[in-house]
Amino acid sequence: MISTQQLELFDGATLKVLDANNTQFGLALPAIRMLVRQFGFNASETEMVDTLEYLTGKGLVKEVSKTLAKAFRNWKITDAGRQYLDENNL
Amino acid sequence: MKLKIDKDPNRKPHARAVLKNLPKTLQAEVYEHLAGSEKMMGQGLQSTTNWLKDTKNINTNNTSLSTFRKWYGLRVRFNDTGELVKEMMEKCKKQGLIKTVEQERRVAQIFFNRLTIDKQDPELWALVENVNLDIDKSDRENQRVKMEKEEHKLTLKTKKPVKKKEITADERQLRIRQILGTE
Repeated sequence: MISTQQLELFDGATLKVLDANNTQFGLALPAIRMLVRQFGFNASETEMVDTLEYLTGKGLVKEVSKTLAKAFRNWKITDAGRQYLDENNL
Repeated sequence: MKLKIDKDPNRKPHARAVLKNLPKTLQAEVYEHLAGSEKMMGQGLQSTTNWLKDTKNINTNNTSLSTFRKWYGLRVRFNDTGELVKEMMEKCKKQGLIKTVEQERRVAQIFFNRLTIDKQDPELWALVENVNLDIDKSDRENQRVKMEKEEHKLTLKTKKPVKKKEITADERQLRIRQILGTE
């Protein structure tokens, strides 16, 4: 069972990974999953998707290239996401 | 003299995010001091904090520097990958492998993510993936066993007990004779 605090840390790690990407390309699930490991999280595919969808709902993350196949989803951080990281000193 | 912070127009960082707002050249310098390069060894968090305060008049702390190190390292990697993808796209276009904008976008996106993954430690990643595959396999196996158990329970509930066919007295006598071999 993951605690609320751990979930918040995981959200933060996901945002940090997306924040570092300032290219025109979005990051797909396998890449995000692998990069959050640098922050000490080994998330399953479902956990990662749930987190990304939650963050999308909060407006901190957006899905890009929606014209691509559903199986190949890509995400980028929003300005609100960057602001969240900066305000929380993450 | 206090350092003037150049803000990147593409983003809106918080005022407290001092290191992320530094000019690119200075960010590279800080990262080099912190993590090291071919020319010099990394000086570590405390030394870099002191160095920033003494030489650049920037007040920061070890936690912020640690966050910056991860952020900047990833950012450089993403930028390099992005540039590589653009070069690859140009080559593909010249060779006529990519014809439409949609194709270009799709292929570039795939290349970018593939290269991002490949730049990491491939052996460790393969190990993690194998472990995850084993976990998935084990979950599926558990699910199958559970389903079979439920199916078995259901079968037991719905199955009517088969009554043994009662035999008549004549049939019984015939069977006894058959066993004794007197018939």
